[in-house]
Amino acid sequence: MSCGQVLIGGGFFAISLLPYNLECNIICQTDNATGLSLSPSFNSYFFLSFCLFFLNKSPTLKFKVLSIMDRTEQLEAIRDIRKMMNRSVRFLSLSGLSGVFAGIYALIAGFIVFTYTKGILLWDTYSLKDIEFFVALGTVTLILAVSTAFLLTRRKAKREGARLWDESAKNVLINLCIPLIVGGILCIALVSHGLNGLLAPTTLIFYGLSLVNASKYTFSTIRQLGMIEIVLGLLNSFFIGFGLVFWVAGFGVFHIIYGIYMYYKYDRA
Amino acid sequence: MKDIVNQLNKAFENRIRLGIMSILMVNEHVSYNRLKELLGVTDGNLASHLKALEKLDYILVEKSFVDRKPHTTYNVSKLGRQSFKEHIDALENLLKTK
Repeated sequence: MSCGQVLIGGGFFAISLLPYNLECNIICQTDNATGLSLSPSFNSYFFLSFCLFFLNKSPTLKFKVLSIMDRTEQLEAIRDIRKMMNRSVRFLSLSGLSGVFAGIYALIAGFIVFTYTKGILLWDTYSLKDIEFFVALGTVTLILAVSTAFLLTRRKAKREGARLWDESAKNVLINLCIPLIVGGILCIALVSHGLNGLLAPTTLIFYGLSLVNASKYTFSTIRQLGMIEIVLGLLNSFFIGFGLVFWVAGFGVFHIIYGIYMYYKYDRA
Repeated sequence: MKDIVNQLNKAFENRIRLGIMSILMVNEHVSYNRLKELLGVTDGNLASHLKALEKLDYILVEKSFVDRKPHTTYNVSKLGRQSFKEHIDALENLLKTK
C-alpha cells in the first residue's frame, strides 16, 4: 500500500469525523487540489483508522499531508508567476497567419517583378524607372502585408480577450521600427549613389535586425526568423544581382514557413 | 523539508501579491492601471495588496500627474527583489525535494 493511498484513505475517513476539524479541512483540500479520485473500498477503510491514529500521534505524517497540498499550490503559484512575467512583457496576440499572408504577397510581388523584367533577374541593369516601379510595388506589398497582419492580430486579441494596444505592443513596434527606419534611410542613400544592387541585401539585413530586436517583446520564434533574414542578406551582399531570389526566399518562403509554424504552435491552442 | 517551508515568504502567499511581484520583477515601471489590467482585479483589492507590499518596503511607489490626473507607477525595491528571489528559490527547492 503506497503512502498516497494511505493519505487518501485518511482523508476519506476524516470527513466523517468532524471533531477533527483541522485535519479534515487540510486533507480535503489536498484531495481536491491533486484531483485524486477516492474509492471507498474496504482496503481504504482499513487504513483510515490506522491513518487517523497516526495523524494525531505522528507529526511527520501530518506534515506529509500538508506538503502534498503545498506542492500543488506551489506548482500553481509558479505557473502564475511565469504567466504574469510573460504576459506583462511579451505581446502574444501576434497572429502566425499574418506571416503566411505577408509571404504570399511577397511571392506574388516577386512573380510580378520576374515577369516585368522578362525573367532577367540575375544582374542589376535596372534604370531609374524600373527602380520606381519596384519601389511602388514594394510599398503596395508592404501596406497589404501590414494591414493584413493588423486585422489578423486584432482578431486574435479579441478572441483571447486581450487588449490589442498595450505596453507590450508598443514595445514591439518601437523596437521593430528602430533598425527598420535606419535601414530605410540607408537604402535611400544607396539609391542616391546608384548602388541599387545593395538594396536587396540591405533591406534583408535590416529587416532581420528588426525582428531580432523586437523578439524580446513577442514570441521568441521571431528571433530565428530574424537570424535567417540576416544570413540571407549577408549572402546576398556577396552575390549582388541575385536580389530577387534572396528577396523571394527571405520575405516569401521563410515568412510562410514560420507563419505556419507559429500558427500551429501558438494560435490553435 | 520543514526548513524549506519556513523559507517561503508569507508576504507572497497571496495570488495577487505573487502576480504583482512577478510583473514588477520583469518590468522597469508599471502603472497602476496596467497592473489592474494584467491581473484582472478590482481597485480595492489591488490597492490593499499594493499597500501591504509597500509597507514591507518590497515595492516603491512614484506618484506624478499626467494631464492633471494622478498617475501612479510602481517598481520593485532592492529588498523586494531579493525577498522574491528567495521565495522562488524556496518554491523550487520544495518541488525538488520529492
